[in-house]
Amino acid sequence: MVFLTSSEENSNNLSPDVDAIPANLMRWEYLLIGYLAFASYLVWYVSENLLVWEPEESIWGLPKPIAGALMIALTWIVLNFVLFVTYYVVITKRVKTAHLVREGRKS
Amino acid sequence: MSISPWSLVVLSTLVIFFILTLVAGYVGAKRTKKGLHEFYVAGGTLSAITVMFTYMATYMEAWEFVGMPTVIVSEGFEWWVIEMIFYLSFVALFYLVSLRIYKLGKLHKYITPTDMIIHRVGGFERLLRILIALMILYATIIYIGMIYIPAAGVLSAATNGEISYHTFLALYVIFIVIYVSAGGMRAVAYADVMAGVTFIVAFLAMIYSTFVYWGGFDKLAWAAYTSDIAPQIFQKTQPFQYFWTMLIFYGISWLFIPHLVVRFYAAKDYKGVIVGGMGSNAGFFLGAFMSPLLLGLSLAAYYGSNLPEVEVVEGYVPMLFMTLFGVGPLLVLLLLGLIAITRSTIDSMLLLVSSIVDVDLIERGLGIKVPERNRRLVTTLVIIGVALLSVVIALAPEAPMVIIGFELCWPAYSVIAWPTIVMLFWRRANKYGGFASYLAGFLSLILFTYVIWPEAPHNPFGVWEGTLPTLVSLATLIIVSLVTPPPPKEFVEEYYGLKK
Repeated sequence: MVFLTSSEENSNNLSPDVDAIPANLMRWEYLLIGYLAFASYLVWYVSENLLVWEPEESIWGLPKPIAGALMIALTWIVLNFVLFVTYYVVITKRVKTAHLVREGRKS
Repeated sequence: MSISPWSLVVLSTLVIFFILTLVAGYVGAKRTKKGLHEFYVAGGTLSAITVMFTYMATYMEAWEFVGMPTVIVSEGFEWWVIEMIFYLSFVALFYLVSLRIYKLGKLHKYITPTDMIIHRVGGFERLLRILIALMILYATIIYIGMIYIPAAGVLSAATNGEISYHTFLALYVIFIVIYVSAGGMRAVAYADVMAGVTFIVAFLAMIYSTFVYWGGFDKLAWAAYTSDIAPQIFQKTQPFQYFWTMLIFYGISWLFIPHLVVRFYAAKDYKGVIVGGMGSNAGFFLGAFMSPLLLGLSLAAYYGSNLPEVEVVEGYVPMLFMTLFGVGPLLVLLLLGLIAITRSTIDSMLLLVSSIVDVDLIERGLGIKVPERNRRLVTTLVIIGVALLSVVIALAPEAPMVIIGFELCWPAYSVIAWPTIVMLFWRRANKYGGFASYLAGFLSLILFTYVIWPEAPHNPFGVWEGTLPTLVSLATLIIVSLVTPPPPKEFVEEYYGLKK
């Protein structure tokens, strides 16, 4: 095998963020399964109810298919910012902890 | 044959753009230190801003800017909605998966996406390298060929067909080959930044036209929805299961798209991954949502069923720009944007393919030793070979690029991505299950697509084309792993970085 491993590489050369990112799923990350269930419902709702040509009807003043696409796009863009803040805070905190642990080992 | 001054301007735009990117390539090559890790993944030192632009450029290419608006009027609005559905799962799991790939890339100094797969499977290295290289090659050749279509089609349409689609196709391929051969990952990354900036200018021009020409977004939407083509394009033709399998299988498979994976390796730190991911996802809202929507609706509203005559349907977009803005500096700028985004993905993919063939197939798979001084020559030859092979797809396209992608290209990525993502977390997976899953996935893909169900969607259940081969691959991974011995504890701890 040609790859470097953590035991071959001096662990001090690795950035503390490598230690801080867990190999397992963090407990709160399982919530994303719930989100996927919600996303499935949204896909069903838009595809079965809004992908139609009904020029006399509208949602938010827009034609139904366009409003449906907007619902989907707004969902993922909001989720993007929520997840960004969450991951940034969680991993930054874990990096600081990992750094302290490393300093503790040195001393 | 006489060519009008405007057509010469279009031709010159292409030439000037590629000269500029050649300069970027030259600067990149000068700064490129020796060694594969630097050449292919920029030594893992790209900052968050550069990573953000490279992610965006990786996705926001001709597919979003030209392919999606076109497919709205040529095939139906539902195909663009399907693309939005993809983001529902891709964005949700982006941080979860990308951080783990980044961690493993840093821990083990991977160079190619295949490195991670081979390492995790933990056996059958040579055979697996050859298999994965063939799978990625199959998908990437279709992918690159697919992007050649709008690249040449847009320019040809901009000259009103005076300079043919095939002439631009030939020119484009030659420029791409020269450019990528001269640089490396860093050169591609810098050029991606240029592409991103040009794209933003083009996007602002479209916002301007929406308000000035149509009088606002809602008026544009209703003009499109009440045009004579609307009853055909604003209808659902695919069953719900097609939409849902796109959400689950297609969306999640893009988390291990090979040319994105090397961007994770190239990130300097976790902030590069997270900030780059957030910024690029936000950019997708403009590039993948707003831009195709505005353009597609404009096409429907302006032309209705009287769509212009073009060699390939992707030519509708420049025709619309010419109609709205006339021929002049703004159109040149828009064409620059179109050239930039069609090019940015092709060159990074060619570079990826060269790394896979060079490292995985020739050196580590087949065991042929190439001296360091000849490595660049081999790489160049590989790039030329793949670039030329991909032309076959673009010579006489039978469908819009988006449909080619959904039907033929992305399913191949899915059978690579799904077992890999599962093995990122499932420690019980072993070398037997790993190897068998890729083999079964790829064989079933070829069998379903070309032998058993040659008509789209290549299955009798109405699900997305990649679904069945992906399920075969996952079932094989789980069943074979469970009936054979688990991987050694030592290996698992080492691979996941659990040893302290």
